[in-house]
Amino acid sequence: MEEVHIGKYAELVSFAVVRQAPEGFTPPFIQANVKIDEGPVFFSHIDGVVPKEDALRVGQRLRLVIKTIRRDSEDKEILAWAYRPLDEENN
Amino acid sequence: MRDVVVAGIGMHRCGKFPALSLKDLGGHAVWEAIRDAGVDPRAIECAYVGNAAAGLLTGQEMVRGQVVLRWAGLGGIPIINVETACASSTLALREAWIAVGSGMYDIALALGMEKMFIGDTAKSIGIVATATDVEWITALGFQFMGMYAGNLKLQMERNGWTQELFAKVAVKGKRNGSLNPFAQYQTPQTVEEILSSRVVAWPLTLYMCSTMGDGAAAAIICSREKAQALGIQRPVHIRAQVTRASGFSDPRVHGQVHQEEETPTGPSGRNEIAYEAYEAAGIGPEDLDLAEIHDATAPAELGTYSGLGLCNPGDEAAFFLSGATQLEGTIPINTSGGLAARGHPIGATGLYQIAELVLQLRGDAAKRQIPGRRGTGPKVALASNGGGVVEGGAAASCATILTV
Repeated sequence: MEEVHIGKYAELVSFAVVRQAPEGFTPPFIQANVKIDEGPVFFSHIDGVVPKEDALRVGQRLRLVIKTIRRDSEDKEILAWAYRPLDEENN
Repeated sequence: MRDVVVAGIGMHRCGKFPALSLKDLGGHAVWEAIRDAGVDPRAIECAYVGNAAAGLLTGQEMVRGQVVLRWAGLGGIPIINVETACASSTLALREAWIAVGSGMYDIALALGMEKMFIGDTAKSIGIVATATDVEWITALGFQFMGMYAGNLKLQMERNGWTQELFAKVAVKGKRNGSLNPFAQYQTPQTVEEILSSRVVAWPLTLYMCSTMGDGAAAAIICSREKAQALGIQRPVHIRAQVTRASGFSDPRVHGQVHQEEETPTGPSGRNEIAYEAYEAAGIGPEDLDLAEIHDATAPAELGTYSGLGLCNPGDEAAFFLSGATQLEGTIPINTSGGLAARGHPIGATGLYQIAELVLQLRGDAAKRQIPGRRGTGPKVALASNGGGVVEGGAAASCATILTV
């Protein structure tokens, strides 16, 4: 058995600007499916871009970030994975 | 398995019924089905009750079926509760089909029921998002409509589909719904009305999306021999029922929400569950007279055309625009109006699909009755239903084939 780290880089499979948010989230935000370099496809938020239709393109390279995606009813931070465009960082 | 038939169906209208409880909705559908079949209710030997969300929505977490059927006057038989999100009542039908097909029972009841309007829409929407892994996905703010929107945008890019095309598909559903007395929305809508409704997640607007609804649908299932003995006039044969949960890289399972398969039409390739059902029934897509499909959003219907083998991948838009799937077409799709017009009381949807197909196959669909491919009435029908999402695909992908 060997421990393997996965998911550091990914590619954008599909995304949508969600305008109807469940409790605890403030719309609009970007919901996406990302395919990590190791194969599997994940649900993820996209971080670091303005939530607009032209903010991203399918196939775009992404990098893993860990961020606070919301606060719970006791104002505690809820941490989760998210992905951020690589080229945003190069700009 | 011996031959199993639907002896009768019953529905409550889909809609927003603040004064009605699950008992009212479910009890109505059950008694309508009993009346339609003309069976003695005391002859029903077991019941399978599909419901998705009563636990969270109404607080009736346990013994839902027993509570509702007791109210309806049925008891003293095994009552089994079935939950698989939006496919709950297809699974209830499936279990009834197996119970009768195995020879264990001669007459079974399948019921699907859902009460979604509880006076707190945000809560209801949030609860629908529990049809996936709550630790992984729901906690991150996952929205089904966002997932569907992401899929559609891929298909727009690859196939040149437009938001206006999607609105036209929604217009078809609304027109069919306007002819269905059980539909939640019975008013036709124009392309302009659909496009100008509020954006849920672009390109999806409100009127393209499946509804929240209260409703219930039921079917009385029996063996062919029993149907003959009881003098059931127009039994509808359950020729095939296939259900699978998405697997790990299992090419047989992907349903309409699968994201990984690269095909000419984008992410939703061939519907292998439907093909498995065709094979089990000994038919092909060319034999279908009509189908009810799980259009959680009206435009999702387009992708299913090639998935079900009704047209070639990439030809979906032209196929739709030819009128083939309209009531007057060669293969009408969602004659009930589908999830956006007939309505989507999630745990009841599967049996609403079956009830619509039974009405059509018996020639009882009144204003929306289709003539069938040969003009002598439809003979072969498919229901395609999906429930929930787990990583990689649908939690339940279902295909049911009915024939007369």
